[in-house]
Amino acid sequence: MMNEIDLLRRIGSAPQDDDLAEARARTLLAERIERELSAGGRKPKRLRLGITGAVAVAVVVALLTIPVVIGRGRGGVQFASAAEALNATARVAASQPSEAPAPGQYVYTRTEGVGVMISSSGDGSTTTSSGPFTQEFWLGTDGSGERRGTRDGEPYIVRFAPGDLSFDDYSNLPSDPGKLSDLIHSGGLGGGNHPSDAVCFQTIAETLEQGYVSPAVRSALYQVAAEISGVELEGNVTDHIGRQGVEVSYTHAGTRRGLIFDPSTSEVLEDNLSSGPAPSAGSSYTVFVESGVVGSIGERP
Amino acid sequence: MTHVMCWSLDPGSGASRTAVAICGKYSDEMRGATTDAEVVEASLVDPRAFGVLFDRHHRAVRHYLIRRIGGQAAEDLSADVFVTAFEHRHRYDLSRPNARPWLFGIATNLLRHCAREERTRLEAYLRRATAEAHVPEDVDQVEDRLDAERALPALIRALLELPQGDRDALLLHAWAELSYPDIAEALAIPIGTVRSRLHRARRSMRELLHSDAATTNETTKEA
Repeated sequence: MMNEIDLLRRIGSAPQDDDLAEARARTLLAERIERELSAGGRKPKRLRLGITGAVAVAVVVALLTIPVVIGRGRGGVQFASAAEALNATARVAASQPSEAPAPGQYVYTRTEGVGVMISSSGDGSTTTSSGPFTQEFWLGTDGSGERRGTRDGEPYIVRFAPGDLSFDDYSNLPSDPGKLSDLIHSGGLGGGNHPSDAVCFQTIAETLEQGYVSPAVRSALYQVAAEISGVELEGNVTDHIGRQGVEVSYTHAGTRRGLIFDPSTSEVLEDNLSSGPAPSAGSSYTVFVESGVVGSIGERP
Repeated sequence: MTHVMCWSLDPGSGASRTAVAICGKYSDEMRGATTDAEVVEASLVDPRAFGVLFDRHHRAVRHYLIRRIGGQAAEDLSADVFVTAFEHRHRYDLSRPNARPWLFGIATNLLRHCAREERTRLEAYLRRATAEAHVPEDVDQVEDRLDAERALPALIRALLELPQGDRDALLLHAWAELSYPDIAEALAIPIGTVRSRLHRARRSMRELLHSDAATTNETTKEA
């Protein structure tokens, strides 16, 4: 005599696979992922910011302040460690005045680089390629905005109605480095319940790249990064458009993430990824070319 | 640790002609060797990594939902499970390497909005089982098969009468083939509660089966 569980397994057994149904479900997920990529970068919904991680951008603040020169690029100060470079940059950030955009204004950012693209065909198969992109992004204080650019040579434009994006997600971040560190390491800014140091470094980098982060918070972010063990100093480097800065990196599971910044302004210059010990032909990178506060979409600093 | 190639910088493009898709096939290393937790963690950095979870678990989730509610509702719900999971992935407990219980938990939550579809599905099973129980297909059927065919209608009636929570636990065990700890994780209940729910559900079914058998015997004697 069969038991109840065996009997239950006879009911409605062995549904047929359905490639078409699976492809439809795959497409729905792909569209949802695409929306996240389009609307705000790589973070989960709760963490989505007005300006995206990958797309976003340096630093209104830095452009609006008088640089405190402590040395630039290959000819600048030689730091002994990543922590020293990050802490020095934190002090520069802290000295800068706050220049938040006023209501009705937009934060403009321009980025370019090489990104990984995944294309799907009708049968649900996917291929990857690495291609160049350029992008301009306007983010309004009301959460509206527009993104224009080219991706692998194809132009695109994405518009966001008021409220589609959110500008203020970082306005309440603690500027106290200890509190901010607790928040980041507890997963309060993303990365799940137990974010690894790699994810914390990623979170800090993306936050620094937002269009507007107050100087105090920027300073705290650099200080928290300085406390992460495993962040390496790459030294004085030149970014992909020839600017000189200091690079720190974190390598996780064979993937190296590099963050290049100008220690004289605290401005982030470039964010890059590679699967080897140093940037290679297969790398992805985003260069933060220009940013500033403008009065309307279409206007540039 | 394996390479997590889904770490990538990407400009994003809502209007690109090539749909940015989930990374179903672009990271063989990740597909083959990483845990679900590592995939979820990678997806926090690059959302496309989440596609690996789809490839690993969609079929099982879909099959389970087809058995529970069937038809287009099941197809829609199986897609919703992964979209919902994607949207809530930051809440995933990265200390749990296997995401299947979490996905079935999401499926269970979504099923709560499908009570009508589930009843319709079970009633269809009941009609079919009742018909088959009275029309033997083969004179050489073994005793187990006859037992099963006689018992199935009563079993399905018992399923229809079970409280939702008991039915969820029972079918996650029988149809999704989750272990007791996995059911506890899926339903976010203590494992002791899983045991008591399954015990209660199985007892209810047994009672109905015996009652049905007794009724059948009485009928046979009267005949």
